[in-house]
Parts: sequence; C-alpha cells; structure tokens
Amino acid sequence: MAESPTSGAGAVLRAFLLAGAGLGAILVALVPGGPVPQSWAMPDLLYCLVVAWVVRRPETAPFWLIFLLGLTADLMIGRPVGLGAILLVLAAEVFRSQRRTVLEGGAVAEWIAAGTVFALILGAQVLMLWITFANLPALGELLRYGIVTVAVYPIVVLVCHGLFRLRPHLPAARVVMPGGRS
Amino acid sequence: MALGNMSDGGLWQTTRRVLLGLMILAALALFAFWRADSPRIERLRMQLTDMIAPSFDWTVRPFAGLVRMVEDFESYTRVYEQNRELRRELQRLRGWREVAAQLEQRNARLRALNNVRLSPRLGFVTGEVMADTNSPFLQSGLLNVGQVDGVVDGSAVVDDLGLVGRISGVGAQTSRVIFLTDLNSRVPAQVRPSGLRAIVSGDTSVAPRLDFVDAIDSVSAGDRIVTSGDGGVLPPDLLIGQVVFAPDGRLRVRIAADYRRLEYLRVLKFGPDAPLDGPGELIVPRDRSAAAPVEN
Repeated sequence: MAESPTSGAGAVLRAFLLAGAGLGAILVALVPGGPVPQSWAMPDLLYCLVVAWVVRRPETAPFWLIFLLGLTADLMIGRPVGLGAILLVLAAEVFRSQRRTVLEGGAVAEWIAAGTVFALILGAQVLMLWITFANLPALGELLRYGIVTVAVYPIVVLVCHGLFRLRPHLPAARVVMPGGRS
Repeated sequence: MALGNMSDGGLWQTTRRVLLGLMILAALALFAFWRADSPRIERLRMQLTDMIAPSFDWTVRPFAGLVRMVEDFESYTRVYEQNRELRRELQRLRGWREVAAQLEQRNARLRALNNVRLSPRLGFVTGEVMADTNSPFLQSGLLNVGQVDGVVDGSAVVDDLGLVGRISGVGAQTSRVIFLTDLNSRVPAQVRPSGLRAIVSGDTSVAPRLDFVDAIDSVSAGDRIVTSGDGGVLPPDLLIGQVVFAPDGRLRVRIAADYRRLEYLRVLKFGPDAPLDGPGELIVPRDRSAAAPVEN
C-alpha cells in the first residue's frame, strides 16, 4: 500500500498514531459519569479527529483505517452499525478531495465545512433509519448532539496541532495567487 | 519508467475507487443485516466488548475517576445547602420509617392469618458500571458482570432508587444495560393508584413517554409508575418513576433512578412462574381435549 512514496516510514507511523488517537476518542466517549442523559450528549470525537487529520495529512489517513475505526465506534458506541462507518469514510473522502479549498479558506471556513458535513451525516443516518422503519431519536437530542460536536471541533484541531504535531502540508503544485497569501 | 509510475498511480486510483465501492456495499449490507437480525450483531458487539473490556481498567477508569473528582468538588462547594436539605429530608423520612414499620407488622400479621404463599424471592447480582454510551442512537451502560455471574438477556437492572433499564446483550464477563431513556426501550408499566396499564417508551429525552394510557383523565401528575410484569420479562412492582405532564400535554415519566450517579447496579434474577397454557388434561375427556383450544 505505498500510497505516497515520498513519506515512507513516517506515513506508517502517523497512521498508527491516527489509529491510537481514534481508539482513544472512542474510549473517551465511553467514560461513565461523564456527560449523562440528563445533560448534553457526548460529542462525536472520532468524526472531529478524522476530519482534522484528513484535511492536514491525507496521505497518512488511509480510508480502510478510517472504515475500521468507524466500525469499531459503531459497535462500541452503538450508532447504526455499518452506516456510521461508511458515512465517516465518505465524509473523509469529501474533505480529502476538497482539502485545498478548505485550508485556503482559513480556520472558520474549515469549521463551517466540518459542521455542515456533520449535519449531512446526521441527516443521512436519520433518513436511513426512517427508511428501515427504525425508531427515530428526538429532534432536540440530535440537534444538541450536532451542536456539541461542532463546538468541540476546534478543540480537537488544537489538540492535533499541539499533541500530534499535525500541521497542514500543502504541496506547492498549484501556484498560489499573491493576494491569497495575506 | 516515468510512464510505468504514472500508470501505477492510475491503477492504484482505480483499485482504490473499486475498494471504496465494495466498502460502501459491505457497509450497507451490514446495516441491512443489523436492521433485520440485530441479536446476532448484538452478540458480535458483546464479543468485541469482552475483548476490549480488560483494557478499560487502565484507560476509562482513570478518566472516570477524574470526572468524579470534579463532580465531588462541585458538590463540596454546595455542602452547606446540601446539609440543610438532607436534615429536612431526614426529618420527613423518620416519619415515613415509622409508618413503614407499622405497615410491615400489620402485613406480617395479615399474612400469617391468610396462610399466603409468597412467590420466590428475587435473587440479584451487583455489578459496576464500566462504561456508558450517550449518543442519540444508543443510551446504555456496560456492566462488569456477565454470563459467568448468571446474568441473562432481559434481566431488570435497578439502582437503589428504581428501575434503570434491562439487560440487552450478555458477554462472558460483561453485559450491556439499555437505559429507560434509550430509543428502543419499551417497558410495560402500571400507574398507581389507578391501576391503569401503560408502556414507558424511551425517546432519548430525559423523561420517557408514557404511551397507551386508556383514560388520561384518571391519571394525575405525581402518580407512581411501576413495572406491571406483563410479558414475563421484568418482575412486577419495580418502581420506575412518577407521572409528569409535558408542556405539550402528553404524559411523561420522571425516572426515579439517578442516572447522574450510576456506579453500582443490581441485576435482578427473575424466573417467571410456570405458565399455564392449556386446560388440565386429566379432567377433560379425550374427544373434547382436542377441540378445546379451537373453542378458545
């Protein structure tokens, strides 16, 4: 799976780091006595992590690893099995192809993009559940879940930035316009 | 060789796309399978949990300890108010204790007079909550007791105040509790004192709905809700909570169990009585015993 010949061992190491961080995100969501049914829902940390990672270092986040992480989260946290994983992979693919636009737009644009895609994911999940006659979660609860996740996204980005030294790395293939720099 | 490299990249791109397509198909198939046959997926989930559970000791637990410490500190700052509150409550409860003691004595006397045979007592096993999930799609907890401790699917789980949920998914060492607030939780209940039957159905909000109540007029806010035992899964007469009226006029349940402090939970071992599902074969003559079920 030599995706990018330029990285080599570093890419493999980073992929391991992503796997570890992803498992960590799943475990944090399982901590008892954290946010309880009474208060706010637990944010989807794995989604934030994967998006932040893919936007910054897409070559170190292979899609099968994201799928495996998503599937583990589905089974452990109890989202619709299979659906959560594939939507996570598709979201990662969207960000992978649009990362240049997202990064050049600045931090706020990235935040908005992450939020929009998460809303789409939730919508798709509810739609699939509705199609298959499952019980649907309360709208207010979904809304809170979305808001909490979006609110947590910058924190995850900062953690990635500080802890994992995850810096955006844009190949200089395209000539950046002089005005776009400032 | 540059050309070869290029085609290599192109080949990888194509393979990647095909793999992605296959992945989507596999995930959708898995989703369909989950919707159609969720017990099998549930078993898979419990196997995975059983595998990961030992690592909870050094991953989830320190976190949980930290969270509890913060919570305890918060309650420490309110210690004065709490003290007064507790004293008031203690006074009220002393009165109740007296009443309860008297009732118990009277009950015992009446039973002795009646020669009542009680149903076998409930057994229970206590487990610790290792992890909990709190997403809009699943609200459940993970207990550190499982098959080896005699936990079976469908057992009622209570804390010291009331019903918390029921077991759904048993591993060798762990089991999963579906909370009353979960999307798929449906518990047959009885409203006291009117005796009306109802279903407590969770919808991820804090207070589950009270569905299928016959006569809403005879239910008032504050009525106690207990399990009815219908269906033979949960034992009867476990406290669920109290009736509250939602702003939209629907009935909801304020749960008695304290979901904010779920640490140790009891899993009740409840064997329903032997079912009577036919006429006594000895008394009914032979030719009629075949016709009897048809008449019913």
